[in-house]
Amino acid sequence: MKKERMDILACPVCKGDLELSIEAEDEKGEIEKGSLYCKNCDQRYPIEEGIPNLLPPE
Amino acid sequence: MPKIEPFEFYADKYEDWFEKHKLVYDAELRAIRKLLSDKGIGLEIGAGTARFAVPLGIKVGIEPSSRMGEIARNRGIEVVKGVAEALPLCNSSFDCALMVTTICFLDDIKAAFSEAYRILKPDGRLVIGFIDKDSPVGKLYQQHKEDSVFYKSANFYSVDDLISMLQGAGFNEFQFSQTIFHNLAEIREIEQIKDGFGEGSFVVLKAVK
Repeated sequence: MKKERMDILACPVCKGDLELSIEAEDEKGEIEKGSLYCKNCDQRYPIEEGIPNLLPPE
Repeated sequence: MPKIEPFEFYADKYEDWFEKHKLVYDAELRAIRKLLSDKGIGLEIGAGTARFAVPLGIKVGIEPSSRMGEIARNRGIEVVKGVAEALPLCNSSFDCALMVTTICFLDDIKAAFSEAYRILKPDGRLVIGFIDKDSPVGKLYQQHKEDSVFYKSANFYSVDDLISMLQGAGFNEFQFSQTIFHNLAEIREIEQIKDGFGEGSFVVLKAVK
């Protein structure tokens, strides 16, 4: 996932801003592992193998 | 949840379809290109394995199935795991949103259209490619629904069904293109692309925010 994608990503539930935490980047500087946190919903969404998982919580 | 299970288990079967139906795939791409502008930033909702996003120059795809998303990422698009009914995207952030053979697998098509409207910029375009419920192929798919791992749980729509729901979501200025004028097994030559709808089984509808 590219860092500049933060400009368009939002929480799937409240559509609020997400806070990015990076755990691992690849050689191109793209995020390989980390998470996106929605403060409004107190919900953390994982980024795994470069793909942010923003499925709404069940 | 959307109907992702078959796509998790049968991604290879999905991929094979495009190899076996090259002329159909090519006609569908040409019918979409007719209404899709390459201006601005585009998104595919229900990107699958990016069979459409890549040749159409779309860089970002929303896809709920992990298996399909991995293949799409390997094909070079940026994948966000998410559903059409609750898009994880900011308001007014895209110039164009594309949905190809996606609407039949949605849980809540009205919610998906409202979400597409929300994430499009003013004058943004939603382009939908689908098998018309009232067309020959649409009727055949409905008759043999149970035989297909993909279409078993699908819902088919007519052009009128879609226009009324899209108007409800706020869209207007509808335009159409169509292709697939034979049953898929009979297609041996390049299929034509025509304006409008009512003859071809694959219809592309463009709506403006």
